[in-house]
Amino acid sequence: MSESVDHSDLREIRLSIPADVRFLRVARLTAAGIAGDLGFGLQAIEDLRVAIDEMCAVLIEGAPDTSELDLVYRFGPGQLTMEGHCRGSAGEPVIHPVAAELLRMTADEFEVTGDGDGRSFRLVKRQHDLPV
Amino acid sequence: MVAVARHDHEIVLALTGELDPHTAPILRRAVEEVEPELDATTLVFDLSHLRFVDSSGLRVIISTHRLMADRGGRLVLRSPSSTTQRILAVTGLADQINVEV
Repeated sequence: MSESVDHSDLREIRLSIPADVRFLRVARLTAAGIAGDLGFGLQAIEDLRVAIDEMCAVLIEGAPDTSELDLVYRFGPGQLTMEGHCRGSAGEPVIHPVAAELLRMTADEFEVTGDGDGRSFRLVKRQHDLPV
Repeated sequence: MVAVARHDHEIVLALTGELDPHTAPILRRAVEEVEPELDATTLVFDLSHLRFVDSSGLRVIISTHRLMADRGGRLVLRSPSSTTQRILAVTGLADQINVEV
């Protein structure tokens, strides 16, 4: 069950990057920067970098070269929610067992879906540890 | 990203930066390049300057571990960061692969 969040406290950053593995680091860097600003601890930030990387990699797998990966980072006190969508990535998303294991370790919530319009994910990371 | 050093009893691949879907193929190619020299030897991944690893990197580590076992040698993961150590532990790889902290 999700914890309730006061949406009036949420801020949002939108990022659009080419659906290319070369740019996954941009998604990671953005997530880490926001989490650091929120006061997440070092381990939570490292976890977040892994989680967003895995989610984005699933979305862009097999996507056409011209595709874009659209990311939304919503954040407020103690929580960062990320949503991604990649138009043109075909087929049901498949999470490799090793990736699934890492996601269970690093994310509080995650889901990935696919439809005729492409693939999408939602990822939640909450602040559990104290800032270092 | 990958520097190769050959010593008497081991071949060392020193990894720098981030191991992700973009760079994992570079490591895979580096392993393929030294593969003819791997019989009954020790292959070391020096992780002391590796700042990030994801499942694509772990898959290269797993496949290299299997390759070394088939060749009568062994893979050693040397000096992983605390974050990488945690990932190796949680995924169970630390129990299967030689890790030198």
